[in-house]
Amino acid sequence: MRVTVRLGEPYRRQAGVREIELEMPGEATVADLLAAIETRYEALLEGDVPPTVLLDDQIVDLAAPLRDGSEATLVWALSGG
Amino acid sequence: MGRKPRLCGRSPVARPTSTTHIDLTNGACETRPVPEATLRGLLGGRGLNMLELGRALRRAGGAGRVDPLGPENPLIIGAGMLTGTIAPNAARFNVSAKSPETLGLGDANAGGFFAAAMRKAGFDRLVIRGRASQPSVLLLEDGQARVVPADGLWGMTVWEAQEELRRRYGPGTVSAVIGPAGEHKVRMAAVMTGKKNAAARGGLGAVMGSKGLKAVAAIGSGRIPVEDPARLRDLRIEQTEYLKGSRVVQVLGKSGTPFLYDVSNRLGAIRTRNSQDNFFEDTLEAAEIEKYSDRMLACTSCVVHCRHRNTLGGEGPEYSTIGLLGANLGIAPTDQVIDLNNRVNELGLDASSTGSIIGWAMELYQRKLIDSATTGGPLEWGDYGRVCELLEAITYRRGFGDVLADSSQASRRLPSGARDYLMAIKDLPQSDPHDVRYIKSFALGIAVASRGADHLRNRPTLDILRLPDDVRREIFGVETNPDPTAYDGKAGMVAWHEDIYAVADSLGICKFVTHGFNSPHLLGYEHFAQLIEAAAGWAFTPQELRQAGVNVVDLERVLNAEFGRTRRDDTLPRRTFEEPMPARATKGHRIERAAFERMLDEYYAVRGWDKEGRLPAPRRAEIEAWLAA
Repeated sequence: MRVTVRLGEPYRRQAGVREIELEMPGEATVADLLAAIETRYEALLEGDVPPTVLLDDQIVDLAAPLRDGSEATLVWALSGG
Repeated sequence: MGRKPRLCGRSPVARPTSTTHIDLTNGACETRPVPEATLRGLLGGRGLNMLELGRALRRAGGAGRVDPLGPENPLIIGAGMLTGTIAPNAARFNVSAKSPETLGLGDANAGGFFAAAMRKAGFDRLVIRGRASQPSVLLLEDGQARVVPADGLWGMTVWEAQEELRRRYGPGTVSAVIGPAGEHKVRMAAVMTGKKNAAARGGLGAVMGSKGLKAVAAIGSGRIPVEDPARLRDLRIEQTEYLKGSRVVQVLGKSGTPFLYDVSNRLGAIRTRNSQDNFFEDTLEAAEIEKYSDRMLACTSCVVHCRHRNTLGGEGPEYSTIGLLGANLGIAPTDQVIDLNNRVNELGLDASSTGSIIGWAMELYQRKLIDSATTGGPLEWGDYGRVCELLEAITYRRGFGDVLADSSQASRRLPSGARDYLMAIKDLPQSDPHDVRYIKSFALGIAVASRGADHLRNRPTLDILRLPDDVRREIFGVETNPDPTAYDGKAGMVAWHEDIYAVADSLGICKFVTHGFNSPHLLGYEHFAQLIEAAAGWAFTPQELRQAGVNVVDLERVLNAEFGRTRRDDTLPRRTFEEPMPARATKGHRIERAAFERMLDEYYAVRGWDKEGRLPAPRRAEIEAWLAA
């Protein structure tokens, strides 16, 4: 299945792209998706805090299953400023 | 008035020990040492400012009675204990007074280069009273404080005034100034230094303007003495290396705070059109802002470099400004929002309050609670040109701008029902663009923040989502509830942040390097204790240092009680309770009143206060002893 991943900050800056598309196996979960992203962009997800994942605008945990056509968004779980 | 130079700065001793009292009415000037026990208990910066504020208001007849724009309201400018040393990010100072915006506790914190210059000129803390007979400048140089005529500075913008002061007194002159907004006693006017560093909250620029004081200009050629310079230098190197390993520090140094916009916006938590909506355009995210940035800038001793220099002639914007002058007003074009940022800074307005108050007015117009006859023309969402006009009208108190210049107090001049749409707590418009209806700890935090709706007093920034137990324990130091939408188990983390932020503010350290503010890999109590020992020669345990934070929070609670604040004031705007968030991941969330009251009970219990949020008698007596000394 095909999943679109929108990279929020700071992942967008490090990867140099806003959006990527990944082909994932049928039973894949969010954890698998993060592993696939790390394979493509080494150390992208390392940092002070782990990424937060929104799947089709819903907050999900690592065990959440992916669906064909899903849009995942990765952001940092922060709010200071 | 103050024509002769007066020798009243501190003597060059190894510890920051002095407070200088200046009366603008008669030019009197006196420097008094701060006892060691007081310094150990409140550190400096915000902590000592609160003590001086409490004492001065009592002497003037009581917190409730003092006119915030009258000569008896003290304007207190205090550097942190470590400010100006080579400790990492030790640039901060606090400006404090009775707030004309909230009629309560006024306190604002800023960075830049002014506070270091003030200390190098020989002054740690200024308590300024009275009113000058003509527009004036307070000039600080080599231990001398002089009140000199402003001579043409009055009427200049923030940027013009600082440039002129450098021309008059030399290129090394660093100033804290007011713009035209402060001169016109706009209740959301800031005290500014540099192009955008602002002691913004609470309208303290109006207090400065009411005293006829255009600027405090420091010419700091001296050294800030420290106990063990070699040890402090080693710590600086060691802690800088540690901080540079933090991804948050790295990102702030490249993107600045605008990177937070995307986080809030994707979640559905960016305050939009006065919090009627919760998401907005991608045109305001960091990647777009960076197109208008030509370099990143820093404050004194900073290792982060988080401030954009923008190609439209100013500095910034920050996440808060993007949110409140962009999404909150329905303005999407990046260049327009950056331009608005530059305008508020040049005029000397608090960007957060200004964006909140104009957004409030726009909603009142949308709901037909006010019309064009009141506003002097249409007031539509996204109308950049109209907002530009309003900024000028507010600053110079013209037409409808004169009403809005009163900030939250404008509700007295608007139709009944207007207050229902005001996004403020304790009459302070909410500081940051994050809608607090989803994350309950954020809601509790702004409800109990001592100066009003503000995230920089206690926000547990990492409580957005379900961080692992070990990560949360490392950050908060206490067991907490991992569910950001839960009400229980949040009070401990809010209190924990409240204490460490009070310590950082009192030391003069920036929150961007303070443990728990967006990262568990920043400077905590142990790092701070090392710095204090090297700089001032005093040993603190982490527990003793946290106790200093508790002291500041308790002192502010006592002062708030003197302003008449009670449990009823530790609350949230009506919309937060009654209207669910409309879209995205946060859809449907609001704050349940009964659950909020439970959360408040838990918070008071954690702080050791009674059910009404009052200090117990023995603790109150300890605070009273400080105030009476």
